[in-house]
Amino acid sequence: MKNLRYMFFLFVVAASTGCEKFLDYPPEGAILAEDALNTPDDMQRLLNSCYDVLANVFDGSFQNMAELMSDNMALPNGLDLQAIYKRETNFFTPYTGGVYSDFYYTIFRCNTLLENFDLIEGLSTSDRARMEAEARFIRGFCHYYTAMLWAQPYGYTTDNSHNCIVIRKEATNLPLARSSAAEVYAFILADLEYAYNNLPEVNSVYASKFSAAGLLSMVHFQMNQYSTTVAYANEVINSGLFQLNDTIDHFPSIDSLFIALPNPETVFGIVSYQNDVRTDEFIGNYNSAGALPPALTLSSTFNSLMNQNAADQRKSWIEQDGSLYLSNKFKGKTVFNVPLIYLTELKLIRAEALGELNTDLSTAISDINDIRDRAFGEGLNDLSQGSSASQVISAAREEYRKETVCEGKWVLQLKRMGAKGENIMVRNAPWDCPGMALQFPNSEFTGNTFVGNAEGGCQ
Amino acid sequence: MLRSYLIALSIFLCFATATVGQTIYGVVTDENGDPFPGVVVSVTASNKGTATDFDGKYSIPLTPGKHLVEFGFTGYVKQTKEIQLNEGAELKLDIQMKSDVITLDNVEIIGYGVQRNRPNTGSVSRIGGKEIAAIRTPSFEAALQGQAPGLQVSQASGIAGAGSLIRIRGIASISAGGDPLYIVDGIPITQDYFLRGNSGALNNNPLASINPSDIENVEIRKDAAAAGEYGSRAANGVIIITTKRAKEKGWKFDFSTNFGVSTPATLPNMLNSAEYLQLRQEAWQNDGGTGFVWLPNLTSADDDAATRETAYLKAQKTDTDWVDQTLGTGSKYGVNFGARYGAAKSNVYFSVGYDNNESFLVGNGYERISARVNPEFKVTDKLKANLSLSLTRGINNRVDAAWSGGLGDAMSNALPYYPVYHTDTVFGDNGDVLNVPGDYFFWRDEFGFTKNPVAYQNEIDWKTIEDRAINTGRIIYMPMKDLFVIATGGFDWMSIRENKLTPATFDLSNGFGSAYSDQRLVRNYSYNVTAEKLFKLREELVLSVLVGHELQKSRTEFISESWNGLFDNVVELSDVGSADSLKIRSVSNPEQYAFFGFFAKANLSYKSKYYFEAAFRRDGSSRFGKNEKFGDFPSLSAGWIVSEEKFLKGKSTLTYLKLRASWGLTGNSNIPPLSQYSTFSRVDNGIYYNQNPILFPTQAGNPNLKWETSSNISVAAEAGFWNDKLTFTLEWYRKYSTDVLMNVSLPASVGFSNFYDNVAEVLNSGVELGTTVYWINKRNFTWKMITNLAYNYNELVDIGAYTPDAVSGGTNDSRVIVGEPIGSFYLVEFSHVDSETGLPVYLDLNGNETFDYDNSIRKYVGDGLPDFVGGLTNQLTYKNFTLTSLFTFSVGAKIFDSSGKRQMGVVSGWNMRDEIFDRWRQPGDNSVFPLLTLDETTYSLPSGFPWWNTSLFMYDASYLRLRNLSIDYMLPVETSKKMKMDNIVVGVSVTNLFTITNFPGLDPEVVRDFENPQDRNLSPNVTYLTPMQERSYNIRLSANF
Repeated sequence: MKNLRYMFFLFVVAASTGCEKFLDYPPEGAILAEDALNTPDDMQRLLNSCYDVLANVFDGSFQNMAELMSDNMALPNGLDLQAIYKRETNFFTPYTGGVYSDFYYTIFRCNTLLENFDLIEGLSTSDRARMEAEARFIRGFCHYYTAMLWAQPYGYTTDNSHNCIVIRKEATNLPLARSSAAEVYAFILADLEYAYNNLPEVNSVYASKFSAAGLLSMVHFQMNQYSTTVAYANEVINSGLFQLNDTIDHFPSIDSLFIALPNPETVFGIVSYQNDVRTDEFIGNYNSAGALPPALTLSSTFNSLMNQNAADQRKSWIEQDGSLYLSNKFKGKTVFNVPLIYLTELKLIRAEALGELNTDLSTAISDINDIRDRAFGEGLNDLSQGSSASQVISAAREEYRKETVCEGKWVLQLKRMGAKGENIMVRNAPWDCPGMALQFPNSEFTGNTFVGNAEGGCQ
Repeated sequence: MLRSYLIALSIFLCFATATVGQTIYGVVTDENGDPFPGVVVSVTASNKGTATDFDGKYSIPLTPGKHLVEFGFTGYVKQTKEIQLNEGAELKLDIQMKSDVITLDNVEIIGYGVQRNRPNTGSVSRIGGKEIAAIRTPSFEAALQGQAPGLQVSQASGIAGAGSLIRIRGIASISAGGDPLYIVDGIPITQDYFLRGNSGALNNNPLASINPSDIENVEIRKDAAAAGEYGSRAANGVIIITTKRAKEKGWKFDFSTNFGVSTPATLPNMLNSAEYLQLRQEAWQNDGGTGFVWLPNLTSADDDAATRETAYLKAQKTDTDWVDQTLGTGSKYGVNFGARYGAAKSNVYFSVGYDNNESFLVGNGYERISARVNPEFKVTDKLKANLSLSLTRGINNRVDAAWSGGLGDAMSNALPYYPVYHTDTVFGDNGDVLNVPGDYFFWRDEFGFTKNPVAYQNEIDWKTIEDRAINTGRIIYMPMKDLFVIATGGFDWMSIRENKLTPATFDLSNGFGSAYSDQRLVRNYSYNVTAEKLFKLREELVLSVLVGHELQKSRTEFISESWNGLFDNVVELSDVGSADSLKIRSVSNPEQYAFFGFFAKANLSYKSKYYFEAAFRRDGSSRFGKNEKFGDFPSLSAGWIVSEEKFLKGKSTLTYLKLRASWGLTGNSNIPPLSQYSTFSRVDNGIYYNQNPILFPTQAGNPNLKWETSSNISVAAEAGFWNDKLTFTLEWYRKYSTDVLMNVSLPASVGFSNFYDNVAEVLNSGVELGTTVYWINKRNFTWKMITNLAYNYNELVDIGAYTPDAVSGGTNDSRVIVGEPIGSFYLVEFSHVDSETGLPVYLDLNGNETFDYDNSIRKYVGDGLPDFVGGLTNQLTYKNFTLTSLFTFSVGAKIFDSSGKRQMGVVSGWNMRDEIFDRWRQPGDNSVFPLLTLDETTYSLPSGFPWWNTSLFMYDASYLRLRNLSIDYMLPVETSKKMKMDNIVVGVSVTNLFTITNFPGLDPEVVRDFENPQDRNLSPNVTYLTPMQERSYNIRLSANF
């Protein structure tokens, strides 16, 4: 029995001592979360990674989806793209699921940054304010564009109590329910206003005070709040920092290695480099590959719109190939920057907002004519001074639709107009039919509280 | 058909009733010379054995020749006798047992401790190496099918080197690996099925490198008492493999060789060109189309009528049987040579083996070259050491299968009107010659991939080379009587290199070839040390105590080399070296894990009829969170040999009865090593956004991850009647698993796709029955029948606040549904075809009929887990002939034919199966399938989504299969002697001769390729273009001298 007691003693000692260090196997080549964020440079890198994902979302992916939901496009090639066009996405549609996930991946990074400032030593107050404001700008930006495609627009219900999207204000794994449109838009505005109040006026290619102002103008316009639309648009337009392009091309090619050439009218956008191209989905889907037609072509109705006036230089954006109308906007290009908030758009929404307000129409007409002068030639197709508010609105919309084709912006306006009470039909279906809100990806339904969008298309 | 099988079976049984054989018999006595009942008498290298009756008598029928006979009983020294049994002879062999003083010479170690041949308190099935080697299977584990109750073995497909799916007492895990723990010669081996993912639709088979001829025996440990000593890793059972050692003095040699051919066990019924075109035309017209239908890769729906007509008429002239193009007759060849030498102070077992299995898939084959040396040295009277050293190379000549191509293409996108080769010269738009007659005809599938399975199987140079060395060393130290200190160390080294060259022919755009060479390198170190002491407390009260410590560490490295832009003169892998300038090499972060444990076990026996055992483990795993690394795994068990009690002793009917019961906790930690950590990655190379570096989160970790734990209760009765002419084991068990690990799909709005969490609760409960009957036990004729039957109930009890979509089985439609088994199919329920419109009718969640297909009405429609599985072995020996048959069966499982939904759904760029002939054509038709259409929305499917996930393609997977039928003939001893041999056996066998099933697809027993362990757990019985099993015809010859 002596032996037994001895063995038992040995066992107890060994078992209670353990060997925890032997079991400590931190990953090689990866950084543990608790060790990741220590210096201002770490935070700057994390912030840059937010832009990095955003650049992947807006490499044409989001724009293509949004454009397919409008009446600018013909039936595309490819099962996923067709599902979007036919307004029959379901939660297995990978294309839409990937973009949705990337929006929230960006948001997760922003929230991670916002939650970790206290860990950082040596971060100046101004840098902290700037980073925080940039992160909130991107967070608001992502929530806004997600709400645009995955939910019915602001104004769909009178009190905006309808289901919108999930608000992510913390970097957690918890399943969350969708918030109402009222809550989502309030959240977006709060983020953007914070950004507007804390961002520098000039911030390289990153978000600036005027990026926030431009986006605030666009969001308020989407909410049919015209005074604030005008006020924020004025901030940008009157800043003197941005000039309209001389040419109609919003996507000038970049040919020089390592030299980013932002469009001079870009208030905020994605930059590409020869070694870091962020335009794949534009090029891959709009340009022909060998003998095969491109996946995305324009609709005949849009072609007709473009051909109303023979002097319109923007006609050159369309090339007819049999029964197909190919977009030339990206033809022959590989590397270019992608403007997301830019002067042309802000001028046109300011013009329309002023028309809605029926005030300062001369500014509105001037805005429209700035665009028309570039498209048609100086004074060749100007909107006459003294035009009525409705004429201003109509002209602004027409130019907006033409200028932004392939950029995924027109469907947002269709939804907005519908929510405003206009009788809007999109390819023979009402603006608010179920398919005009994309279905959420499958994994969003893993929590019991989530309610998806109705499926079944718009027939 | 069934009738002919029954007739064959009757003939088989009749044959059984007219025979006679050799017998060994005798009386076993104790030290006082009194009869000794209950002594286990077994014949090694065979499955024969019995226990002595009340009078100490035993009798075993045997084949002529040399045999080793073992006599064992708790507390007594195991005795081994070599006998020579002549033809027709009856040999009397009386034995006197000696008390249990285990010495270095007779010590046997299985698991952690000294094996005393005691009646175990746990559930253990032991299968001899001979039984395993007798069935010609691609990998040894497949031969375990039907051999033990509660052991469910689903055979692999016919792809060479493919692995089986093994489940012991159901499945308790969801995302953590659900396979049993494999121990080879005392150490846990690397058993990662996903080292190569599922490239080419083939998972890695970590057991393929083990040569069946080297196996002495395999133990299946099922309950907490038996598996408890491996507690923390035993939630899904333990399989212990022991390799051969020399047992006799002097030299002994074994030689065996086999030849065989294999064919597909069944063939798909794909449409020919005329049939496909006719049905496609019908679909076009149903959709309102006029003129000729457009044809994939020839025309489009937008083409004018004349163009479509020309293409259609041209297509009618070609009729390629793509299945026939990808299938052939396989061949098998194997040779093994073993040598044993035993001396007073040392012994050694040595073997070399070669096995070549060319499967019936054209171009596919698996070669195994193996060598083993198992030496043992008695250093002193107190110290013994042994080694088990093996080295194996497995070379798999790969072809695509299933979703990846090959036969999979032949059953899907290879339309019969596509020719294998161009027959005309093809010109480009500018007049260039694009193809000349004899060039491969390539087409694009719906995903844009270039296809032609014949071109791929002929032109792609693709090999997977596995080098494996499983090495163990053991020192056994006996410092005093009844005390053993045993140290076992192991090093399992595995290198898997996959080399693939795709020649320039396949790049239709640029004309460049590509190649890659991926290597996975696994180093798995482990050791355990135990000390075991036997205490004879008082007369007939024996206590055995064991304490031990174990440690394991594994590191897997990933090295990848690729070449893109190879020129067309690079046509073999050996040419790639010349293109070093194109090489891109990357080394991924290694994966590492460690395991650490202490354990203790005490076993008490009283009067050799009452047994109690208690075991306890405290184990730690690096896979878990900082505060949850360690888990405690106790077990308790008891056994009572009732037949030793006075009220039963001496009965002639019930000669043996043992009752046993056990309870214990077992665990599972088999998840990716770094799941607990939240991680970031830093990229400094300056080509990220705006040319600036980035730092970003890469994984949502869970620092609270802990052991998945199963509580096991088991109660069993083992009985023998009429001197063990009939023996049976009946066992009931209940395994309730908590904190079951789930790789939860996070809501997309979180920003990460998945994370591991201890969420679920799972119940497995069942009954197992195993019987052995000696129907006839005459001198020249014996008929033994072994039956095993297992019933298992599986229920997913809880998954917290998650929905069924939180965890899915890869691309399959299996989900986690509370109240249903793991691996349930979550589909839209199909009701019938509306006889007026021909449209499919579905059932919504309330059971109401609807024409609307909607993902929101998906529900549990069935599952892939069988209610019953089992096997029936009949072994008849007449003089020198032995006829063995093994039937296996499965009842109650469903199979989801995931590719059937495309082969018999919306008419598309997939060829179809002839079941589709039963489709709706006009009002009033009652058909299985609805009207044909090219437009998925006709069936109410979402646009662009032809994946018709309905219960229409779920079938009953019950089957009865003649798994193996063999006849062996042992040459008369005199003949063997003349040839200077101890014995020579020749045999023929056939596997998978027939299967009786209602499943209309290829095979009701299916193991498809899986994406990850979770998919492997959740998606049994899902087939997606999975190749059929093989039917093989084999001849073998073995000789001992």
